[in-house]
Amino acid sequence: MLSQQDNELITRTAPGTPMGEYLRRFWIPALLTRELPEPDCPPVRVKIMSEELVAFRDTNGDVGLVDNYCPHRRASLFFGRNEECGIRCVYHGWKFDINGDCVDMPSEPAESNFKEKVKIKAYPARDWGGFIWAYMGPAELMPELPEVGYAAVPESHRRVSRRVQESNFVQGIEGGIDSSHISYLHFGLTPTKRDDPANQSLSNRDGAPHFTVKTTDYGFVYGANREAEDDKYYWRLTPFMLPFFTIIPGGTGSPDERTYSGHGWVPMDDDNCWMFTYSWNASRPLREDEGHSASFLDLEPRTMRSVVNKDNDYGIDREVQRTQTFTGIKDISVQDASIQESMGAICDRTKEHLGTSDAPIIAMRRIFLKACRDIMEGEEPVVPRDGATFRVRSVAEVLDKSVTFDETTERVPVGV
Amino acid sequence: MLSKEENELLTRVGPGTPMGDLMREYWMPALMSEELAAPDCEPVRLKLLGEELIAFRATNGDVGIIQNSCPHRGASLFYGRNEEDGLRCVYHGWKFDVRGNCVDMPSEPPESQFINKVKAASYRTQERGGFVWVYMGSRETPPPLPSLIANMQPEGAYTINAYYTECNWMQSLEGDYDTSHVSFLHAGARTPEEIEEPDVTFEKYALKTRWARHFVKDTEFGCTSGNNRPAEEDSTYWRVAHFLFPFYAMIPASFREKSFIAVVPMDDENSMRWHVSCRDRSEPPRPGFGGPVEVDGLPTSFHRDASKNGTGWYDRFKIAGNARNDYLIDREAQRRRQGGLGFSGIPGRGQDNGMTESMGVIYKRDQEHLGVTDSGIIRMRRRLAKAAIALREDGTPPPGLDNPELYMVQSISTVLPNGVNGIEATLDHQWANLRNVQLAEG
Repeated sequence: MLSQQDNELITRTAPGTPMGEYLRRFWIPALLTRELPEPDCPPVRVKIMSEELVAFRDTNGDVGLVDNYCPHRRASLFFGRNEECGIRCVYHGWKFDINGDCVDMPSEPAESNFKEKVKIKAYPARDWGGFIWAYMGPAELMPELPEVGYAAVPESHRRVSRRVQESNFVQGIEGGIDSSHISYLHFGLTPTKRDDPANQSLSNRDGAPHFTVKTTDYGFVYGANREAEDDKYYWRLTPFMLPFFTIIPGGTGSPDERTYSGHGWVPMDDDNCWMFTYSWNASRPLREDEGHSASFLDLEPRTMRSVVNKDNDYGIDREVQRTQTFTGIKDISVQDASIQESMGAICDRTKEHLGTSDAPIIAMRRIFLKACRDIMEGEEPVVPRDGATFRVRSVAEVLDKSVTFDETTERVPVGV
Repeated sequence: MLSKEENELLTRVGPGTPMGDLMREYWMPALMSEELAAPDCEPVRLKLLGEELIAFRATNGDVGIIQNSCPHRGASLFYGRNEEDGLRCVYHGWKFDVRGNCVDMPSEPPESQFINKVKAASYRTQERGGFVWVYMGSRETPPPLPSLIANMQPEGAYTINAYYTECNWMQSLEGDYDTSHVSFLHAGARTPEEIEEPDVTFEKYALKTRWARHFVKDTEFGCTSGNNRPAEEDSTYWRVAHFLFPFYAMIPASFREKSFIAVVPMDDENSMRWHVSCRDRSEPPRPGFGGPVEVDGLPTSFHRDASKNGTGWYDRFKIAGNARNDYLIDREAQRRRQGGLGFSGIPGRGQDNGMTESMGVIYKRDQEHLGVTDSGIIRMRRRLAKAAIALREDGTPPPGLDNPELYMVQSISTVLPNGVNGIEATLDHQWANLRNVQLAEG
């Protein structure tokens, strides 16, 4: 349970909010590299943490991320012409480069130096691991790009996607670090592309796993151990990487041969977020159909919302719910969305009742609240600055009961 | 740049707001006469200055504009029966004439006097030049109609074009008074070479030199802006445009000199744009900016008639491009950079709506950067704000209200010798219409 005040603190991310200032100290996925496929291609609207921005790839191939609104009379630059190393407003022809400098102001008299006085808000943006990352914080605090596993493999070895979710981002994270729901919400699914059927059944066998959390440089890792056969535990270890990334436990084969997936939850505004999804395999290219199911959802092209959404009750089939699956909702990723969105745009955490299985959620909130308080008190919050900190992956193993949690966590950090 | 308070003053037009009160003192174009095509035809939902109204044409041809909700229990009179010189609510049969008088109350006992005590709010109307004009102001005797030349033509000698925009009236009107956007938004992909001689509109100069210098001058009717740029070596190309209280713009180009634009607020977030010219309506429309003329049964540019209108509050004169479909932007056309479509890639009047609507429904003027190009806009805002405050504080009659002849002014585009002030030098031409009328009257 959180007080109303603390709930506000961790969920509000507009400029000037403590949580917003904290998140702005990280590199954040803004859109997919493939959404800006070539130099001078059409720009894309991007809303992050309540800031309306336009992303464009200039003639050199560099990505610009600038204010949606032209500084002149605030028409949208989305309609702009992306040409000759800049985006040009089609209203009066003012043009801006990726640094936000006004490089042409053809509507003003030739003798005018107004151009030198006008700038547009612009954020550094980088192509990295299939995403275009943005840094929206103070320049002097810019950390290294996180060396996430999917950025270290060739393009053929990864699959990335994004979709919009109609809830606050914290609900998304909470769904991702709550391993116990898979025994219920996703129960009765036909074998997924992701999970070993054997492991799946292990999850189902013991619906009340034991949770342990360990703080790390990148955030924390938590383990859920379920009873397995003969003095063994089925261990699922999920890393939570600051500020909002997870890697889901699962996959088959040796740890180096597995395909891993995870999500990043980027606030769009306080009531909506972007679910970024990544899947990768360090040892081989992914098959056509391989990756997290979220990357195969049908999306509305303009809004990037799943076509199965709250307006159609996520396609719930009550007969299927009665006879075949726990929810009657088809896709695993839509099941998650339905539950996370059903809490309301911003979950009222004054009314919840957290159990022991919610320990990772509590740990995450503690980190956020501490960071918010640091910001409010003028202290620098802890932000991993070294990209190598993020070289981690998840664990899903059946191990002897003699193996301790600490020993299992040693399996997590891997220099990829 | 404006403060939040100044912006509110300028943009809010509901009942009781300073700007709303100012506008109500003027006659306003409410709808096209042909939207009420015949006596006892279907009523029309009409949103004006934030008020929900119903317009209907009575059996004798008079137009009534009355409150939408029946004074009895608030049911909408839109569903009413328009018959025998009145609009009858279909809930309990109460009936109102064009002045809002209750003329039948069949649900009450015959001895009841209640009928004499109930009135529907109604506004005075008159028709001229294809418009139903409405007066929503405070005067017992309304002022005269403004003598807008293009609205004083016989049938067949004028054209009314219309389109609806989903934003506050002020930013839409700013787009009209800012004629410098034409060189970019509408003509940024056109070249001087493509203009055929003789260039009666002097368009090639605007394509040759895309920037302009600006002079602005206060006038009795509002203000005049003189936007100028080099023509030949020894001459300057001038475009003289007017803002007239409370929401008119007159934009130059020779064929449009007697034309005017009215941006009528439906409410704070929606506006109706009327473009009235002295062109014969039977002439085919001028070619637009290129791209499709119609999409999904709606024109991409001006509406010529009311036949495509729906019945909702915001269903009149809608164009095909809107915020939900990104104004039908064609990125390939934008890339090809040819003709009127080629700068923005947006067909028709979606070009203008795309810009003014994308600023936000009610444009906040606290983060803008105005250049010399915007001097006309700055002056227009100041004049409006000042007049609204003067009316509120001292009852000062708004500019132009009692001088209908001021609205005979016209816009000009012309070429003058260098060093001449184009606003002053073209005064005779600007006032030619008034002079002709005075001559005719002796």
